[in-house]
Amino acid sequence: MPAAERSIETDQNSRFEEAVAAFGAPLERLARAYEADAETRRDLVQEILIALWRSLDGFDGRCSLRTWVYRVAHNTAASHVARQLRLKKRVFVALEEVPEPPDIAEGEDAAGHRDELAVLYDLIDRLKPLDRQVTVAYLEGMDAASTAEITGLSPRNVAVKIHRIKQVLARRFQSRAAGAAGSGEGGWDER
Amino acid sequence: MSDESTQDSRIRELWQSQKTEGVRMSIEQVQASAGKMQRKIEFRNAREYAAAFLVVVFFGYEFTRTADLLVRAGFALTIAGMSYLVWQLRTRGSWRPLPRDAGLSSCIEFKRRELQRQRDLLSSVWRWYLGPLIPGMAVLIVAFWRANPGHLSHMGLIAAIYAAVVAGMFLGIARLNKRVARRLQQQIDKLEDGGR
Repeated sequence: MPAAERSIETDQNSRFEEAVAAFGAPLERLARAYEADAETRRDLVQEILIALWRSLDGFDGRCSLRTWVYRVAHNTAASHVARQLRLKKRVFVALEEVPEPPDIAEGEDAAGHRDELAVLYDLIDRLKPLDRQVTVAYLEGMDAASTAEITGLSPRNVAVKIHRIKQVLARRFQSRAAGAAGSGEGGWDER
Repeated sequence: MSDESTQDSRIRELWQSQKTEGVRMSIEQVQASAGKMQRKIEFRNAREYAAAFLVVVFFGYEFTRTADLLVRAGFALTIAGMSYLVWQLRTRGSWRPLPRDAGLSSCIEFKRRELQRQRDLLSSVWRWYLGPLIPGMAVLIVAFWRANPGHLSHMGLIAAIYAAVVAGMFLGIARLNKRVARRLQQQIDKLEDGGR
């Protein structure tokens, strides 16, 4: 192998290791947001890693490594969902269309009966890919500008969606966090 | 800190602190898996082309068996049309891994490009899928009709029915593809509206 090619591959490999060290766990959580089945999810994580490694020989620093990693991961995962959709018909909803959890409306402590993470995943699993991407970015603590860069939404649109996510999550978890429900606007850190 | 802010932090903490398996793929394993995936893609694509290859072999064999120039021309045009179709399938529609520049495209841009590719594929079905097969079929129908001069009216009717069935099938395929292409365009428009 010529020296130049070897150097490119070394860069690619070291960037990949850097990316996995920094974003390995977030990538696993991202995969979980797209695929509920554990075995298929392992395949998806593997698919994301392969796509990431292949893409990194073209990484030229035009965006941050984090943005690059998330874009590759979301695009791979969204393609995975599209493939799965062809196999089994699913209907996804927008954040605005997420139904109220009936047990909460009845005043029950719904989350108390189920694992809180399961409640969260149940919500994410219903969302359309774009809303899912914004929700995952929000949960990872990403700011609106980074989320806009990854998703391609305008920052204003991201802010609107984040506001909506907060409302939906508040409703889902209201019976767990006393006093948090129904306050609407608030002190969420928009960063 | 407000109650809502506390709850937001708590939910994000819940998300970020969940147990993960840990990514356990070395560079060597990733490289090996990438090679394996590439071979899988090639096999899958090869399987899709195998049917077309069989048709080409069949018409090629028939081509060598007949002396009639018009029939030969029909077989040759069908082989050429089928080869063009397979080449178009390979360049336009074959299953492919994520493009290497996927990190340069935002999620909306990536999705839009993918939808546009599928829309263009479906809306141009006459140009690359149905159209290339028509000359060969038309010449074969005429050759079939001409090769039976003793039963002109009878064979002419059979040829006309065959032509009508094929034309109906082609029109049906084209209409179906147009409808799906329109649906894809609606998705693209929605995506563009949603991105603003």
